[in-house]
Amino acid sequence: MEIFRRVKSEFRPILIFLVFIFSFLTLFNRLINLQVLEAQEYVEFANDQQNRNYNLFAQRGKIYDRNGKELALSLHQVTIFANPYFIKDQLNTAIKLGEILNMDVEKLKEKLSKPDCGFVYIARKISPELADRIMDLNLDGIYSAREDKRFYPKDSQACHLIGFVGLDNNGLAGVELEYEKQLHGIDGKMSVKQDGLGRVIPGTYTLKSDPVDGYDLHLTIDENIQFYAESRLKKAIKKTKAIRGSVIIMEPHTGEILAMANYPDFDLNEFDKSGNDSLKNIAISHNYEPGSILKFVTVASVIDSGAVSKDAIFHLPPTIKVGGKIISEPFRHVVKDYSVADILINSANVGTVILSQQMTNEVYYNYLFRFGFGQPTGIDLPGEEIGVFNHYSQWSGSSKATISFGQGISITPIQLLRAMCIIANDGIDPNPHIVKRIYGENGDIDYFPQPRIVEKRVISYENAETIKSMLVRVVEEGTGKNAQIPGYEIAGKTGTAQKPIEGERGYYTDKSICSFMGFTPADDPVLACVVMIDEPSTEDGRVWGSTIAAPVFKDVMSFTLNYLRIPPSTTDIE
Amino acid sequence: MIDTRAELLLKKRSNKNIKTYLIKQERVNVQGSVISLTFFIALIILLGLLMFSVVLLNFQIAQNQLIIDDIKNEINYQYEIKERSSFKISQLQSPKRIYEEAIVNLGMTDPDEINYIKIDTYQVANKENTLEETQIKPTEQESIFSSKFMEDVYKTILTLLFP
Repeated sequence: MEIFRRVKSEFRPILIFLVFIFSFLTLFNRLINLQVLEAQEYVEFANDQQNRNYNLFAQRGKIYDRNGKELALSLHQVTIFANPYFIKDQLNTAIKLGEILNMDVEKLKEKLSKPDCGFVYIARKISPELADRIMDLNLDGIYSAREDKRFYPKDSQACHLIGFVGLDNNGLAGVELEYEKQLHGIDGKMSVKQDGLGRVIPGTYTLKSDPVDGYDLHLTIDENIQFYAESRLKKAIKKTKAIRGSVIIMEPHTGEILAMANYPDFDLNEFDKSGNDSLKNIAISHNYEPGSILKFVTVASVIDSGAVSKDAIFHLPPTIKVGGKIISEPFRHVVKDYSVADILINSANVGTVILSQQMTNEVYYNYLFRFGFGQPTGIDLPGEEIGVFNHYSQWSGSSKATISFGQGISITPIQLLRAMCIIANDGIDPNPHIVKRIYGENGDIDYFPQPRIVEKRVISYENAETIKSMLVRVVEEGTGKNAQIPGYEIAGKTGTAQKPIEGERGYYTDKSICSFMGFTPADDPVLACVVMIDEPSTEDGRVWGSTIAAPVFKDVMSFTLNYLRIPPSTTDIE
Repeated sequence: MIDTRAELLLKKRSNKNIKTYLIKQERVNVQGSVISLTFFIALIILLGLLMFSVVLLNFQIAQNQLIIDDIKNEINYQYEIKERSSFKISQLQSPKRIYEEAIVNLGMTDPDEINYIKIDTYQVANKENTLEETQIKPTEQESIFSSKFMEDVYKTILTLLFP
């Protein structure tokens, strides 16, 4: 017993010491965990609790036309949001908010009745005046924050080209989408300390990074030319009861687009109220069989390949059978001798078929490809279609013949205009583009559009000149007479394409697409334009490229020539 | 005995020395504490002054910050006004609106014909009265967008907006 007591008394201090050591080690372990191993996690947890982070939204860059006229800009608007936890009387708050915002009280009450939800939007991007009225009510748990909203002062003008942004200011279409990175800028970050009740502690703002505003874009379009092209197109479409149409005007040497008008259009400030058909940029994303307008490419290919001399004469029957398919002339029922130029001037189907037969499939395909068919033009707009243009290995016996006069191939208006501009530009691909320059942060020019496609020669200078002179004769003597403008030499080509029946073989007899495309002055082209009108109809039934599209071309080009002060080159002004 | 006397004498002397030493030491101590106290008080005063100047400085900074914030707010406000005005101007300058104003409110119509004036610069340089008026087929757009027309429309709109 005594021994036990002695042992107990001797071991007690050791035991206590061990307990202390153990406690110390436990605490030390916890300390290491808290201060070293899990330190970062707790620091972040504390920061989340103590700091409230704000995004400092960068101002989205403006969009201007080539003359510095504003087409899109951002204005400060106010967003109203709530923290339902701090709202005591949800119904009363909902009634007061509903009155000012003209919103359903029940829906508002439902939003405000979720105390666990720390944040809920009440109304986004409302006018500052309206927001002031709400904030003057001093409602518990209702807060406001500034946000930018995109506005388009010209409403529907150049709508497909400019595009629009979503609620979060991200580009959704057009230039707004294509140049999102440059326009958006970089949002800044700021944090502020808050107390346990979530109230901001004054004087505790910390700027983490400054916002960098988006760059300003200057487009190549001219708002007056754009307006005229749009209004003239709209007038033609309403007159002919067509379903859609497009007009593009381009400078052939530079590839700058001066106007890109489409119908149907939509109001950029209310794009969400428009149907999907209206949102489509027909000029770059509507595939269609172009018809006769493509014949100049066949003629250019056959001459440039050396398969046929430009002075060759052909003995043309009114019909021809190729690959089991009979191709006929719509108006000619007798045999005629046509030169290559005559084939183009009179838009002879049989003649074009015979010309195409002078080339191998591979040579013809390569020429069409070099003219830009079956590939994007590289225009700096999203959603560009490449058309339907099969490789020659997939061609049937009649494919080459039908493609030669614009059937069995689908293209977009911009592809067509690019092909015409190759002729106008002395055989060189013009590289169409829509952005002229981008101004950086300090107003310095940050970007000049670089050609996306390396400039390439498609046909020789001499052959381009030959085709030019033939296209001038098309307007002077042939199908394009309605496009003549006094004082100016126009080179152009008409096109009337039957529409294929969807899901079936064959073509509608009463539905067509009328086109006209040309450039002027022919000796030194400054402007090129394509007009496409889908499913027009007239009382007299005269639905042709020459009667529907050529007059639109004439008016649009007359205006543009006068507006740009391009002097007449011929002396036929009487 | 001699030793004892000598010892006594030494004791007396040493006592005297100790006393003198102690007195001196006391004086030194008193002087030291006075210096310390003075130094301490001076330090307190200095610290007080320093703290006061820091508070004053912070107050000044806060006041300046408030002024800067006010100016920034004013700049933002003015910038917003400028942007809204710019938007309004862009809306008013829209070709579509000008065209509609011209047709609907000002009663303008598309012209029947356009007269072009052809000038031979060589003749103008050498002769007088060489203007030759020629006519061509009408186009509607010249009347709408000629600079003279635009000028008239702007003037009219400005007169209506700011009488």
